[in-house]
Amino acid sequence: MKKLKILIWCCCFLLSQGLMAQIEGEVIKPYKANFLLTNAKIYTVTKGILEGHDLLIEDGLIKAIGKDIPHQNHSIIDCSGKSLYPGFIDSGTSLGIVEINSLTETQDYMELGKFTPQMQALTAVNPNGVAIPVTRVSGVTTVLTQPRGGYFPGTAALINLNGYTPAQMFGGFKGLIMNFPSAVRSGSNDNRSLEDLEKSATKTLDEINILWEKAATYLAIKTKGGEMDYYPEMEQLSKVLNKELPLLIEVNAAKDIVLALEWIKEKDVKIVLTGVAEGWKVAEKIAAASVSVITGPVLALPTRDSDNYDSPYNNPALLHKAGVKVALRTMESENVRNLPFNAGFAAAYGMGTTEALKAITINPAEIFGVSDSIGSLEEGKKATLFIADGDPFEPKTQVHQVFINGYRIPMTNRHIRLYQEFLDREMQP
Amino acid sequence: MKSKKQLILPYYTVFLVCTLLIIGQAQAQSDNNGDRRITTSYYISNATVIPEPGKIHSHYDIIFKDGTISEIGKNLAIPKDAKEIKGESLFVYPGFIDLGNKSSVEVPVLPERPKDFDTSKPAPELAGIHPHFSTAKLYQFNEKIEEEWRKIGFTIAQKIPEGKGMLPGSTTLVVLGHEDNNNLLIDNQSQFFQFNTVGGVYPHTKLAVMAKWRDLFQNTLLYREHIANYAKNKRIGRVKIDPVLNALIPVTQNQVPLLVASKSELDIRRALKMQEENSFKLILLGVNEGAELIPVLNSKEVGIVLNLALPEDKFSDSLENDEQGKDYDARIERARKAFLEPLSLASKYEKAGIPFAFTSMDLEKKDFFSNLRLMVDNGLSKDAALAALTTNPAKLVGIEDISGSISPGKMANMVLMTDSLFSKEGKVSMVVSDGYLFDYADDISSEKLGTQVWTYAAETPVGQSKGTWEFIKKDDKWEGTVSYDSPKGTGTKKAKMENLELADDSLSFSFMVETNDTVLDVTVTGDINKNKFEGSMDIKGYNQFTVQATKKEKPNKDHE
Amino acid sequence: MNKKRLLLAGLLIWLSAQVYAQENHSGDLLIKNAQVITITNGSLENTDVLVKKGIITEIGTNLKASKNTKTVDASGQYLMPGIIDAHSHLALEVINEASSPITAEVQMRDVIDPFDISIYRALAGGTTISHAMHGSANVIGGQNVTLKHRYGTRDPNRLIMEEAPRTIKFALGENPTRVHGIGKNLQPRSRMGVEAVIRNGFEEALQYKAAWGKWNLEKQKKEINTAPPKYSSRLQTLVDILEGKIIIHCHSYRADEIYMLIQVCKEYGVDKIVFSHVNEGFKVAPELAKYTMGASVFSDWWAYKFEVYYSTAYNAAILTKNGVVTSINSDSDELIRHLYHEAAKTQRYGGLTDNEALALITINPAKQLGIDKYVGSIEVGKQADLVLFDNHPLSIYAIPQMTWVDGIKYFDRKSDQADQRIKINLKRSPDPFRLSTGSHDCMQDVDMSFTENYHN
Repeated sequence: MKKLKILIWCCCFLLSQGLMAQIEGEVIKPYKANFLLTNAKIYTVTKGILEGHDLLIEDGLIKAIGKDIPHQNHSIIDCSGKSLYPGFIDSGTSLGIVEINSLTETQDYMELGKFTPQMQALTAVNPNGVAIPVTRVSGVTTVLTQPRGGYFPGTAALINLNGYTPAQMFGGFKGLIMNFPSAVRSGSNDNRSLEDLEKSATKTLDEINILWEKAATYLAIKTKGGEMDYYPEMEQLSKVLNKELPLLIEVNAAKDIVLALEWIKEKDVKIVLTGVAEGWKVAEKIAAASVSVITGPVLALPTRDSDNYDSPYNNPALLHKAGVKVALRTMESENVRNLPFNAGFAAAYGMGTTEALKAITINPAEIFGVSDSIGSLEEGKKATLFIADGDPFEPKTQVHQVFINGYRIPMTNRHIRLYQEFLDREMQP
Repeated sequence: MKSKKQLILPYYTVFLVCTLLIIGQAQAQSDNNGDRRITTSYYISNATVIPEPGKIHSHYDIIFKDGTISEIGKNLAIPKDAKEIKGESLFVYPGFIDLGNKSSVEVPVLPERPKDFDTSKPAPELAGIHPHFSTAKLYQFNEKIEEEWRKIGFTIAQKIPEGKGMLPGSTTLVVLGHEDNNNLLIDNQSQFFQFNTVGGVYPHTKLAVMAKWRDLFQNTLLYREHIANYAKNKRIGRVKIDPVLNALIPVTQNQVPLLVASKSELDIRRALKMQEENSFKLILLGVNEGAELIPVLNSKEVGIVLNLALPEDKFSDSLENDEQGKDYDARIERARKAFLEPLSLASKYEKAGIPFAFTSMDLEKKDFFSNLRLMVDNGLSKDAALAALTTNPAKLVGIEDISGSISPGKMANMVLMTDSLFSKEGKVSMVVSDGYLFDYADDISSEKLGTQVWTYAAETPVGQSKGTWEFIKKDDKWEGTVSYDSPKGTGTKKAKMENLELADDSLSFSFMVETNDTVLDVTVTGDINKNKFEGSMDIKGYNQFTVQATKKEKPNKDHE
Repeated sequence: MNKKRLLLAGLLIWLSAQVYAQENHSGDLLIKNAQVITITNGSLENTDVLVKKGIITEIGTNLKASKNTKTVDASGQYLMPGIIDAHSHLALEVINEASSPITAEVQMRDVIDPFDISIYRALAGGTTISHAMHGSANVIGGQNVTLKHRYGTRDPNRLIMEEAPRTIKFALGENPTRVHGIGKNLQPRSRMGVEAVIRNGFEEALQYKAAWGKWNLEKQKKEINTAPPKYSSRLQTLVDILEGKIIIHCHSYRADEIYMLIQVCKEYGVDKIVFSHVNEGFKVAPELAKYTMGASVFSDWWAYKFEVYYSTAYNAAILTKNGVVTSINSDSDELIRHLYHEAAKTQRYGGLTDNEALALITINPAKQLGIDKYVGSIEVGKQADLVLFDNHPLSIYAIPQMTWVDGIKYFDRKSDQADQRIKINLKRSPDPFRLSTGSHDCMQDVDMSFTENYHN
C-alpha cells in the first residue's frame, strides 16, 4: 500500500514538473525600484529645460534632479542623447470603461436616466483593458475617464495607467460631468426654427435648474444636520454646491458657450468648461469669465461647413492667446495614444511647442488639483515620466521607457507582441 | 394585363370622349333638378383679350359654342342662342395648363408581399417599377379638389401618378371641366420617372435606380428584338408577356417621352446622362435650380417644366445671433442670397431662349399669383410667364391644336380676371373650362376688401353714442351708410354717407341727422391704423367730439 | 493688309487657346528651389520643377519658363506628389445600396456630389486624389470611381479621373453578415456564407457569359432560332471582373477571410485584387505579397469592432517589410486631411524610412488604383499633382501650403478664406452646427429597418 502511495506521489510530482516545464516566455511585470536616469535633457515644464542632468527615482518619487547624482546601488539608465518628459495627461477619454465600441456588452460609460451624477466611472474601470498597455507606451500616463449621456451622466475620475485595481489606478481627482443643453441646429436635417431651439434648450435648462435648487435644499438640510431619506443623486450633486467636487460642463457651440457662461455667473462652485469646440469664436468672453477649458480632439472636423478648414487646429492656440488656460483631450477609448499628436497639431497651428506641452502636463494637473504630485518634473513630485529619443510630438520619436509612480512600465503590449510574432512569420506560403 | 398598342390609344380615347360628349348632349333634355344649362353657346362681350402671349386687344368679343371657340374679334355677329358674359373691365387669358399635378389621383393598390419575401429580388410592382399602371384609371375627378385649381385659372392638367417608386406609371392629360363628363384628353401622354424608391427593397437608392434603368432599357430593346424575330420564326418560342417592358417600348422608340421629376441640378445631370447613354425623349419636371445647366440644356432637345413653388424665406429671423466670428454676417448673407436665386431662374431660361412650362406639383395654391409676380419682378417677362402657362405647355404635350391660345377651333378654356394677371389687385372672376362657366365673382365681392363693417363710439356730452358704419365697394367706388341712435328717440336710424373718402389709412365722410328741431350736418374725419379708427366728429355749429371705431373681423353675410 | 489680319487672327486664336488651357483643364507652373521628394528617385535639394499644360516637363536646376507662367519660390520648402487616398467616401451623395448582397451593377460615378466641402478640406491637407468607394454593406458592392480633387466645379463629371481603370468594392466579415444575414434574413449570415455568395456570383457570371457567347454567334446566322438572353449589368460586371478588366478592392479584416478570398481569386484566375483595411493583413503578409496587388490599411484604428480587436499599429510596417505594396487610407472625411501625419506614424510603429513612409500615400496607392503611370511620384511625364509643405511632410509641424491638381492651384494657405462652399443647399438648414471627429462612412445609408430612401 505504501509503495502505491509513493508511486502515485512520484507520478504527480513528475507530472507537475512536466507541466511546469511546458510554460515558456517570461512576462515582464511593472516593478518598483530606484532608478537613476543619467545625462538626460530634462523638460521640467515649470522650470525650463535642463541639459545633461540626472534624475533620481526613489520610493516612487522624483527624489532629486541635478548634475552628477551619485550612482550608489540604483539601477542606472543612461539617457545620453535622450529627453525626459512628465507623463502626459489626457483630460477627457473613455479609456478603461469600454473594450470594443460596437459591442454594447463592453460599454460601461453610459447609464439609464437623465440624472445620474452618482455613477462612478472609477468603479467601472477595467484595469486589464487591452487598450491600457497600448496607450501608456506612448507616454500618456494619466487620463480622465468620464461617463456620458443625459444631463448629469456621472462622476469622472483621473486614473494613472498602472494598477491592478481601480483604487490602485486612482489619480486623486474626481469631477461631476454636466451636459449643457444646446440651442443650436445640430446636423443638416435639423430645420427647427430659432424659437423652437431656444424653447427646448430653455426647457432643459429649467429642468436642470430645478435639480440644482433641489440639491441646494439638500445641502442646506445636510449642513444643518437634518435627517433625510436616501437620495444618492442629490447627495452627489450637493457635493458640487459645497465645492467638494468641481463641475465639468460639456458645451461646444459658440452660442451655447455664451449661455453657459451666463448660467455659471452667480454660481459659487468650481467650474471647468469641456469640449468648447467653438471656443475660438468667443474666446474673450471665456477669458473674461476666468474659466479653464479642456478642449479637443484637435484632429476633428470644423463645426460648420463655412468655417475655415483649420479652425479645430487653431482652437487651442486662439483660446490660449485670449488668456484662457487650456488642457487638451482626445475623447478616445482605444487611441488615447494620439494625444501627443493632437498636441503637436495644436503646437504647429499657433500654440507653439512649449504651451502645447503645458496643455498636456501642468495645465490639466492644475485644473484637476493634483499639480503637487504630477504635471512637471520637480523634486518631490511623483515619478510619472518617460524617456524619449526626441520630441514626443513627432511620430518619428520612440518612447524608450515609461515610469508611473516610480514603477518601471513594461514597454510591451498586444500590438508589439503581434509585431514581434508576425514581422517575419514562419510557414511561408 | 393585356398588351396595349400604345400608338393608337390616345387618339382612340379622344375620339371616344368626343363621341360621348355629343351623345351625352343629345340625350339630356328634361332635368327635374334644373341643373342643366340653358344653352351651350356663349359670347364674352367687350373685353380686353390676350389671345396669346404678345397680343392684346381691347373691346373684343369671343364667341364659343359646345366647348369650342367659334370666333374672336371686334363687333362680331352674335348668334341668337348665345348667352352674354359681360366682359367690360375684364381681362381674358387662355386657360392655364399645368404639366405636373397629382390632385385626385389615387395611390395604386399594390399586390401583397409574399411570405418569403426576398427584398433583394422583389417583383417589379413591389419595387415601385410599374410603368404599365395608367394614371387615367386611377384618376377620380373630384369636383371639390379640382375646383381649387380651376379657381386660380387652370383648365388643363397633366396628372402624374402617385407611387413612390422610380417608374410609378404613365401620365394623363385631363380638362378641369364639368364633373359629369369624362374629362380625359389624352391617356398615356408620357411615362413618369423619378429618382425615388419605395424603400426596403432593391432598388433602394439612386445608385440602383440608375443601374436598373439601364437594365430595363436594354431588356426592352431585347424584348422588341424577340418580338420581331418571333414574327419571322415561330420556332424561337413565344414572347413571355412582360407588362413593364411593354410599357417602355414606346419610350425606347422615341414616341412617348420620359417625364423625369428632377428638381435639383444633380438630378438634372443624371437625367441628361440617362439620355446620352440611351436615346429617348426627355422632359425635365419641376426644375427649380441649376442656372449653370442652361447652356448645356440649350444644346440638347429637352423639354423643361419649371417649378412654380419658390423656397420659403427662412432668413427673416436671423440665426443664432450670439454666434461670433468675423465672417458671420457674410456667411448668413450668402445663405440669404441663395434663397433669392430660384426667383430669377425662369428669367434666365427666357434669356437663353429656352421655352418652358410650369408645374404646380410643389405649389401652395395661395402662392400662385404672388410667385408669378416674384418671378416677373426678378427678370421674367410677362409674355414669357404667360407663355409658360399656355402656349409652351400645349406644344410640349402635343395639344397645341386644341389649346394654349384663344382662337377659333380651340377648346373654350379661358380665364377672366378683374385686372391684369400680374397686378396685385387682379382676381379671377370667371373660368371657362371645356365650354362650361365657373363663376367666381361672388367670392371676390365677399372678400374683406369689398365690404367693411365698423362699430364706432363717440363721446358726446349726452353720453356715448354708438353705432355702425357699413362700407360697400361698388364699381370701384366706396359707398357707405352710418347707423346711429336717433336723437328723436325713435330708435336706430341709418343715413347715407356723403363725400365719402375711404383709404387704407384715413377716412372722412359727412351725413345728416334729424333732430326734433333741426337737421345737423355731421362730419367724421380720422386716421385708420389696421382695424382701429381714431378721429373726431364735427357737428356744424357745435362742438367736436372724439370718435373711436373698430373694424369687424368678418362682415355679416347679411350685408352682402 | 491681309497678312496682318491673318497674323492678328492667329495671335488671338493662340491667346484664347492659352487662356482656355489655363483656366479650364490644366496649368503651367514653375516651382523654384524646393526640396523635391520624388518618391521614386530620392529627394533632390534646391531643385526646380517645370509644369506645362498640367504635365511635369522638367526637373532640374535653374529652369526657365515663359513670362506668363506662374512661378512659386519654394526656398526652404518641401515639394511632394499629391497625396492619394485609396479608400474614401468623399463627394458621394449615396454610399451604400444595401438592398442586395451583390450590387456590382451600380456605379458611384452616378452619385458624385461636387459640392462636398470635404473635397476642399482634403486639398488643404495635400490630398489630390481619392478613391470614392461604395460602402461595405454588401459582399460585392458597386463600381468605385477615382476622383481628382478639382474643387470648384458644379459638374460632377469634371471630378472623375477618366484615365483611371475600373475598380469594384468587395466586403467581407461583420458588415455584410450583419446587414444581410441579421438585418434581412438574406445570405450571408456567416463567413462561410460570404464565400458562398462570392462563388455564386462568379458561377452565375460564367453562365451568363456562355449564354451571351452563344447568342452572339446565333445573331450572325441568317435565320435566328433562339430567343435573346436577358441583359444584366450585374452579371456583365462580374464577367468583367473575371476577365481582368476591373480591380477588386476588398474591405476585410480577419486573416482567415483574407486568405479565403485569395484562394477564391486564384481559383477563378483573378489576380487584380487589393485588400482594404485588412487589419489582420500582417498575419498573412507573405500570402498578400505573393498573390495580390497589395493592401490599403489604417494607420492605427482598432478595437472599434470585434474583428479588429486583434490588430496592431505595426500592420503597415510588417506588410511593407514583407514586400506587400502597402498604402495608408482614411475611410474618413477627417483623416483624409492629414494622411501625411498618418503615414508618419509608421515611423513610430515599425521604424519605416522616410521614403517607405511617404510611398504609402503616393506611389503605392497609385499602383493599387492602377494610375501609377500618371501620378504618385514627381517624374517627368507624370501629371502635376503636387503639394508644397513648409516642413518635412512627416514632421508633426508640417503644414501644407499649396496644393495643385493638373498644375492648377486649388489650395493656397496664404489666400485661404472661410466659407469655401460652392452651393448653399436650400432644403437643409443653413450652416448647422456639427460635432464630428469623422467616423467610418463605410456603413452609411444602411437603414436596418429600411423605411425611407431619401438622400441623407
